[in-house]
Amino acid sequence: MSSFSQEAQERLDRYLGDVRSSLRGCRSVDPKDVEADVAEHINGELEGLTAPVSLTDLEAVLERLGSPEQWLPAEELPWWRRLVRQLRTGPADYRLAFISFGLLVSAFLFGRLSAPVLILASFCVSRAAVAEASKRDALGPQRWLFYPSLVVVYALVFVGIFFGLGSGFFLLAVSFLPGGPYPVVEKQALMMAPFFSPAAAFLSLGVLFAIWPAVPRFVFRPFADWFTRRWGVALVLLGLVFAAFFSLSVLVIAA
Amino acid sequence: MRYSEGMSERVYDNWMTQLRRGLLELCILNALRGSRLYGYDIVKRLRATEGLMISEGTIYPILSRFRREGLVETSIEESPQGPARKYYHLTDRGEAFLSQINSYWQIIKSGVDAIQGEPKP
Repeated sequence: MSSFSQEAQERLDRYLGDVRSSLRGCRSVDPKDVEADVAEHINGELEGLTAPVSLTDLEAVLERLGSPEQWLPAEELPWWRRLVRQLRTGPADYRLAFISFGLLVSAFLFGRLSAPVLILASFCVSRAAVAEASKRDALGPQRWLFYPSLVVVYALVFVGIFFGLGSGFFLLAVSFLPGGPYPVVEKQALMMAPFFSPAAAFLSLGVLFAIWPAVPRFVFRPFADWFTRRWGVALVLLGLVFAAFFSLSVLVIAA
Repeated sequence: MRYSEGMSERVYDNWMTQLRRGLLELCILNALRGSRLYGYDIVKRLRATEGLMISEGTIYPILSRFRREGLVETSIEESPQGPARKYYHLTDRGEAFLSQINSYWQIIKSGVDAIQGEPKP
């Protein structure tokens, strides 16, 4: 049996510990067997070297042996070790997807006050995962882990933009009604709101997106990757339909 | 479909990993045919085959699995050079299995050689 320098002995002990822990839980192999074989291998390689064996000499042997974590194929590992391996060595977007999902679940489990922060953090991690996955042109099954936080935030953003714009234009329009500006809101004005607000929102968004189709693609990535100028025009047309209904309602009220 | 630059390298790595894994098991069993060897001996024999092993340590879990599957048995023998050594040898079941996979390997190898040797259109 070779004798090792203190540094080398510590390194050897750590390596054999890695062997044991990497194979723990694997039903196809006996970790003690493998550890004994590896120890025998190392002694065989270092036989004949001047004692005590240095760290450099030991590292050369360990490098040829390789990392114990890579010895077994994924299908021979227990499920939890496969998960850990995937998180540690898999593509970055996989790790990010799990982090994003964890943050979102935490938001719903743990916190009224911290929920918005956790949801926002989950959203940022999800966007990072999308950016990382796009490098490989494949979102993969892990997309179902980062979609939820994207959907939550995008829904809020869309509703905020849509109703914000609609309400803003509506209140602006109401200010021009006879009887002066707010807070007087005539019954007639309220009747026009279901048509005026969407018309204003769709028209303004449609014009904006038709001129700059990259805006919705960037804001609502990856769900709006298909968005083109044509869809912006479609939103404008939808706005015109609501505007037509609004005009009709004005005529009906006036009559 | 557009592929990213790293994809062909990953495809190659995956293919090599799968191929190497199967061939390594074949070579380990063949190394043990008619012999009693300890683990380090097997590694030294297989080192000569270029490209077969990326990590020499992969042999030991394979040997452990073979033992659990009843393809190999071990025996401990005292060594004049140092501590007792664990020697591996094939069981009857291992011999039969080896014979089977060697036959299959010859069939596959002949087929692949034939395809590779076919004149291109």
